Amino acid sequence: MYDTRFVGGSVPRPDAPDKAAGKALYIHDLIRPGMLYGKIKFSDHAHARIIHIDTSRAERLAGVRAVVTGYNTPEIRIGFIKDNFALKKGKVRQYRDEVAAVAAVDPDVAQEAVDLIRVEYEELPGVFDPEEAMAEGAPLVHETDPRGRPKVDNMVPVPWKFEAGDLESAKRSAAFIAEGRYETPLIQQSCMGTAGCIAEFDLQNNLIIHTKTQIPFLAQNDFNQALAAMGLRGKRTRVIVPTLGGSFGTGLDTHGYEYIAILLAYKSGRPVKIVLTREEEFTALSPRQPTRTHIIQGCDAAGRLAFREVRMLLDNGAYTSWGATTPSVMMLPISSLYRVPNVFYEAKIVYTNNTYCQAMRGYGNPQAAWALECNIDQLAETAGIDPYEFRQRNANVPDEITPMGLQITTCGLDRCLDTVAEKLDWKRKRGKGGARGVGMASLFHVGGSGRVYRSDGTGVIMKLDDFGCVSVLAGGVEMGQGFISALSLTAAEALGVTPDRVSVLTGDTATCPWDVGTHASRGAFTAGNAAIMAARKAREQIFQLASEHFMPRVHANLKRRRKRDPDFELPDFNYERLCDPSEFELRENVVFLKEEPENPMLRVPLEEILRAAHYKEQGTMIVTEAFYDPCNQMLDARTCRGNMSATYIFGTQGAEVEVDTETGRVRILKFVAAHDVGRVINQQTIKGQIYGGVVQGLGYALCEEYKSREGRNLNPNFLDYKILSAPDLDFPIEIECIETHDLEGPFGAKGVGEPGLVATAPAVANAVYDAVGVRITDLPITPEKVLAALKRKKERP
Amino acid sequence: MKGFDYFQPGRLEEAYGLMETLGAEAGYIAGGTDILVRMKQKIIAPPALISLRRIEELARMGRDRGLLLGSMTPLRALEKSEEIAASYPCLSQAVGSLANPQIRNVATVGGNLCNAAPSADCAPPLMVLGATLTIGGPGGERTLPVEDFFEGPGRTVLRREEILTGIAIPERVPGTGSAFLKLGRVSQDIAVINAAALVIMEGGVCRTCRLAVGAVAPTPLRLRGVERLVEGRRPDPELLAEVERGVRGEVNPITDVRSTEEYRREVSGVLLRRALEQAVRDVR
Repeated sequence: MYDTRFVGGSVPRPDAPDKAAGKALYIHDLIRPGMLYGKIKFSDHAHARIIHIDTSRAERLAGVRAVVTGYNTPEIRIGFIKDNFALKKGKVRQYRDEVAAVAAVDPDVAQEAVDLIRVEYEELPGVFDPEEAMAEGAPLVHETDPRGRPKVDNMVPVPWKFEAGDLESAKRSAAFIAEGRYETPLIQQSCMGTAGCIAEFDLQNNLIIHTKTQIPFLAQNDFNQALAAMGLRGKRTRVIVPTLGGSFGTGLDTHGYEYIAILLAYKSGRPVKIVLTREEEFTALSPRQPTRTHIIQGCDAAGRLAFREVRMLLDNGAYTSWGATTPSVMMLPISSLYRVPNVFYEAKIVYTNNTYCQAMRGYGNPQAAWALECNIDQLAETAGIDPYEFRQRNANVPDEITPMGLQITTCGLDRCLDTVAEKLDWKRKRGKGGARGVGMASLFHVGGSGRVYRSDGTGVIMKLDDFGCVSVLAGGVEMGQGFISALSLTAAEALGVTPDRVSVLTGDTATCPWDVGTHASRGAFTAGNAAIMAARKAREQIFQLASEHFMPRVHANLKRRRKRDPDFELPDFNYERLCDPSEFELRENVVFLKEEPENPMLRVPLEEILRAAHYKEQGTMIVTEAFYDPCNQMLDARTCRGNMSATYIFGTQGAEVEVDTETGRVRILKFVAAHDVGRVINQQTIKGQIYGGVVQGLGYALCEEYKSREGRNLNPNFLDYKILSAPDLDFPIEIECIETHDLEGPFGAKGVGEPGLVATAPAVANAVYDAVGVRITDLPITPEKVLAALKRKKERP
Repeated sequence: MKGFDYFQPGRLEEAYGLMETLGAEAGYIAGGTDILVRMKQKIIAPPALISLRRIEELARMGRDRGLLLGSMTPLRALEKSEEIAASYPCLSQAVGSLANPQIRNVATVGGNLCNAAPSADCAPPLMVLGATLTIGGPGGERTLPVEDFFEGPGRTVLRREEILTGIAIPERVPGTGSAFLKLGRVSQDIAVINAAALVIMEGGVCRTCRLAVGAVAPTPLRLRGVERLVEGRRPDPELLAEVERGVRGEVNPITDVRSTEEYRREVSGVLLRRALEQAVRDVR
């Protein structure tokens, strides 16, 4: 355990006042001199051949400065298997396919010009269901793979399979077995700030792009590749990230609209801004992967888990982005939540003519937890064991190595379970009927970053000025989660200054150090560790300077005091003494001697030391850096084994619900979330983050659903895509942070960004089952489904 | 959104005149919370809009053996009115459940009716309160009961140049109780179903009963068949069960992105029964 002054406190976020006052600059607020407005023409069909694109009328419209299509621009491939293109040629495979775009002097002209573009299509039969897409003779979404070789089916070439132990023999000897089929829908991240960018070129054809991203440095690489494709090999990209109004995974990949803005900016020679409307945000940005899961679990007579078999089918949509890699994270809870020796997991991913999927908070884990944690309740019931007791019997323990090779360090799962049971008054409320019930579900997630790329590194630069203030330049991204809040407290604590002396600066690839991206709940964890390393170096340099300047500064200060106060007697210190750096300590902006920490005369403000170093001949300054890359491993592609994260996070969530059996409406009476967070950095930020996660998770549980008919989104607005808002939260949400003080984390902290919503939906479903005895297996748990299930139960009890 | 001309006449006659000169595609705008959304969605693109905001007589709230509401009264004013809360609780409850305070500050009671959404939250309570509408036009005024106003989704009896000017709600009779209930997917939502009930009781017997339901037919619906079941009887469990069944027989819902036909039919019965029970409890 660390003795801390600021870490663990409860302070407002440094970025909050600007956001609350409307001063923060989002992409929507940014204007560049001479800027044009870009607008994209999307496909009119889910699957069609492009016969002809007529842009002549758009080109002639007054105010239009550039019109681009796939036929008059260089081919730019996007996505990690490069099966997608910035502008489509030949055919469209989803409604959101970009077929043309314009840049014009104002948004209305741009819109008018887009409406003047005529595209002639030959419609093709589409495929919209992943099972149908796997059937023989199904229309092919892609006739060739990214390398041009013919494709014979709709399988995405990203297979996932994990096996451990002996499934068949475990199945034969299990005392109890429970089986279930579970589904999750497409859902949209629903960021308050829609996506957008401004692309511009300098006179040397270097690209500057302000854009909404969580991966400024990987995006820089993507854009450099695009420049190369445009014949600008060797030119540079500078990515600048404005204030983000939420991102939730949307910024983990680069998008068609960014490349289109780049093409339009290059063609027009002017900055080009593209900001998605809310409707486009729904229809043209990548949502969370929908899943169909078949799960079977078994346990022995004592209720110890014996095996787990999970088969999943994922609808990839028409192109491949990070959604296709979410099974790597689903695998974590499937292999390692609770102790289970025999595991089989397989995920198949299929192309369809639906919108293509990407990352969203939790990265597959909410889909996996939905099937796992509902099925755990089924199994506990089959075995005749209370589901809380069942989970306790199988809970993970510290220092365990799981079948996937995950090395658990600290583990607070047992305490999380106990906390939720206690706060829900479990023993008294469980199984009492009266249309009221309680349910719980647990989660397992990376808590010490996750090595999904070859590097899992992050850089931090610490720059001290002669006012004793510190600029912390970080590669991570603040997207609303509290990165700046966490990092400023951690940096202040590690360095020995007060948090008000720290400014965190992020989001510019030209000035900030490299970082692989803000994902996998890694921001505070990795940047915090890097800040501790950089602070250590800075302290060494401060103390080195102090050895020379400390006593002279003490002398000067005391002489000045005597001047003001003639009665003051100059103490008899050895003012000529050269100190040793190891004699010093720095705390709350003051350098002092460890031996005499209480002596008010032997204290020198940090800024005096720094100023003395600047204002001398052959002076110096303090700028330190650190690159932290956690001790974790990439998954072995074949065996799917490897210690992906430096530490893991656990949590349990519980709900008390009441079901209106006449309308099917589920009312939450109380919600409890207990999370093993390692160590709290800022009470306000962490509770806000978990609270936000819970509310987002409750939306997933109860009402969020991206509805489509034959690939076309039917609810591209908040009128009909329902997320929860403040008046819906008429019940207490109690958050308990369980501190396990992990040695890997900054001051013991683990990453907490995503888990708030992972276990929420199954906790609600399990509570609904306890209340009225019906199990809803496909999200969201709508009144229509509950009422129909109650009716079925009545007819066939 | 396409550009458009915008007029703010100060008098009704001026508005009628503008409409005549501007031609068939011009439209009136009240609060604008529906029309502007539809314009941004490119569903409609009127070349000119005539605002009713400056016409003072449309924004008045007054009394004349009952309540007179100018059509441009903001919903927020209805929501805050203590008189409405005391005399016409079903209307107060309906307005309080509509959208959110920001919208209610701008949206108007007349706009909610003229928009003619089958789910309009003001319609069922005004129907059970027996409200009449005054419609003005270049040729003079006419009045009609609110339930005769709607013709279909987005369609009313208003002729192009006509304006809904006022809503008259009869005075509350002692022994009256009323209630409004709404089901949405979340708190701030368009109704999946809404329902209003009004009863006038005499010695435990229901002398008058008016029931209305929204979002379960092309227009908000008065349930006259069910009302006849109730009148002259005591609201006992047997009658309430009959009401539930009766409602299911009278509604004509559809399946859309918000709910299903089956659900709306089933639950509109429940909602009306509960509204009736609540109205009986409200009797003073």
